Amino acid sequence: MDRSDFFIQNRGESALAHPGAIQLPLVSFVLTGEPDDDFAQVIEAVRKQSYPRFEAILVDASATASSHAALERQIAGDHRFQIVSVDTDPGPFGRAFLGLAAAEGEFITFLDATELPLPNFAAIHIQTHLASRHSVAFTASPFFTARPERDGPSSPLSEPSAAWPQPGTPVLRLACIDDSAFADLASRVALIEPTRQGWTTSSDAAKMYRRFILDLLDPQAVAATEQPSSASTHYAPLCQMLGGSASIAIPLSSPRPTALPEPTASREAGSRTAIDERNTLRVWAANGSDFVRRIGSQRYWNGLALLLVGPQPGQSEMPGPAQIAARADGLLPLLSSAFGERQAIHQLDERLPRPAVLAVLKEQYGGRLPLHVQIALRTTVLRRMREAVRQYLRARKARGRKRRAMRG
Amino acid sequence: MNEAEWRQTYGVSGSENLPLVTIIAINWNYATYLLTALRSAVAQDYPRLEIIVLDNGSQDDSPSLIKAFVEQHPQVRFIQLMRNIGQFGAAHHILTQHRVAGDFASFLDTDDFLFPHFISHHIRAHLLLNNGADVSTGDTLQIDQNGTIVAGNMPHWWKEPAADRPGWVETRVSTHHDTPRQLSLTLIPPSQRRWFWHPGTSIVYRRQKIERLMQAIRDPIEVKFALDASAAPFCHTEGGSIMLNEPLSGYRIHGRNSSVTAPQLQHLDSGRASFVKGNKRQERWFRKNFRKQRTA
Repeated sequence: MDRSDFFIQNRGESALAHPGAIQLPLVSFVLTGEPDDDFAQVIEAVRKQSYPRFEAILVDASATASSHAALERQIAGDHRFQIVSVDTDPGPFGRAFLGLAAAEGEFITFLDATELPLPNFAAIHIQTHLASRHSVAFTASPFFTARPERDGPSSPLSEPSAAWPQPGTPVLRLACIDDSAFADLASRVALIEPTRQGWTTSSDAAKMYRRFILDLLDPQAVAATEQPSSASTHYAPLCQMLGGSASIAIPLSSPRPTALPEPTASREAGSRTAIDERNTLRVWAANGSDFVRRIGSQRYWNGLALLLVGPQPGQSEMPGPAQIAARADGLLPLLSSAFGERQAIHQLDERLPRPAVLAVLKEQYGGRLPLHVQIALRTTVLRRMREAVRQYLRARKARGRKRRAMRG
Repeated sequence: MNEAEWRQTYGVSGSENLPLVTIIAINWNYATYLLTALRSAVAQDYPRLEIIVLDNGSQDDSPSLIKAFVEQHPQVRFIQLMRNIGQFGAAHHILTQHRVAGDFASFLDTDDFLFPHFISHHIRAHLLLNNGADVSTGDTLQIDQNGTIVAGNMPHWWKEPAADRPGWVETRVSTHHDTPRQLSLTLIPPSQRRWFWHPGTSIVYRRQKIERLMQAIRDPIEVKFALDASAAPFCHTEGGSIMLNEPLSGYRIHGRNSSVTAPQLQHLDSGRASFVKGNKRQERWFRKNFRKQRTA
């Protein structure tokens, strides 16, 4: 009997390479909770995962001898679980960040002690990561509730992707997901382009991130003084902008029945605050030169502009110049250091209303703008003309290429 | 598996000899991954194989590992160079200075590995289609230094639903079984100029065609030049390419790749900036070589 963990076209791992040459990725569950939360149920839920390679990091935020002993009892010697203890509670994001530092998996899921993954949680998420036509930064699945699925941009769950492989397609298949479960998954996955904003702020989804992308987004590395509200509010929007995501319209985890009142929402995810917006912007700006290389200049600067002019948390209207300037506080030095000041001003001027750009610059330089800043603003028209000519030439070249291809 | 069994298994009828395929493994300081690659070469289920391992002046344990491997597998030929002449240089050296008998050639980077049916699937596609294509490519898993799978395929511009793919033909070809199986392949016309192939190890070339490329080269080959960057477009020019959509090999991302630093995602490029510059430099060198040849 073939005991392979995965197959490609009915060939198990032992038929694909010599023993030990390939293996499935390790999933790290980072389990956090408020001080004095009981981890017993979430430990049990993680222990029942059908996916064969996982570990769990329990972050004990109220570490005492008795809390540690209680967790040790619950783990019961299971080597896949480890405890990270901290005397002073570092807050929701701090707890998640501590757990992340101890995690070794290539894929990471942050769960609150109140969120219980179903046994197929990790399997379905990894299957989606490894079989999607596009490899994405994270996958997301809703909590199991009695509520109907949401519509609207915050939850694009009703748009299964035609590009997702059907059961017969030659992709990597996990042994713990049978044909009917795979077919069901295929009809319920939507690949979400990086440019699509908004839905990641949805607080009723559990996510599985690629670890290497989280490491690019460390808020502490850019000296953010205020802590994000949670792992999800910080990482999800940035991961979405960098690598896109896949939305799985199958509820794969349930909050503990007694934990939260309806409507159900993740306590770990919470909702984004103005501090989260500022942290997101700072991480985006401070990593500018790296991100531009990875996603291209257009996507980078458009993303920055969207972060600046998007509606404030709790508001639906576009912010005015003063609000944009407040949001951009401290941003210009980061952008200038990554791209040079003139380039940063030009790019902002291309995408923001002029009054907003002036407000950002006055916030930085005071009422009287230095001469070099004024020159940078005035040469924008020339730059636009040059860009228009460049675009025209590029389009003409592409048309010529296409004509030659058609003739060939 | 003998030839008759192979024809039966893979649904390719006929009685003539199957084409000989040469796997050329080129190694430079990859002692850590070398044996996985070499084992994957000798584990191929294709019956007519020639396997050559070239060591490019490695300074790690590679030469002794290869020697021990060759002792256990006498069908493998070993060529040892005293200094590193680069991957392209090594391919050029083998194809111009040594006897390579295969009708098709596959170049195995020794940090990657092949699934046991890699050669069989490529050759089956060439035999069933018989469309004169000189190059075929198959998708690949992305794996890390420990062999952990980090992505189920490679990202490409043409995987975008809205990508413009003029002349590309999604085709189905039947095997010659009593109950034929439909194989799904994509044929890419010679007019396609953008890069669309999977990484080097995932490509199989017709040997005569790639030999023509090697014979045309006059200028010194820089150590950093990659074989596939010139060989795939060159071999594509007349007969186009065959694309197999199934992952047939493992592409390893380990921190020492010349091209990437992390898993490649569809919307997130983990490529090294130096690789892009190197590619452009190689392109200029390649064009110059062929201008010289035409002038001569």
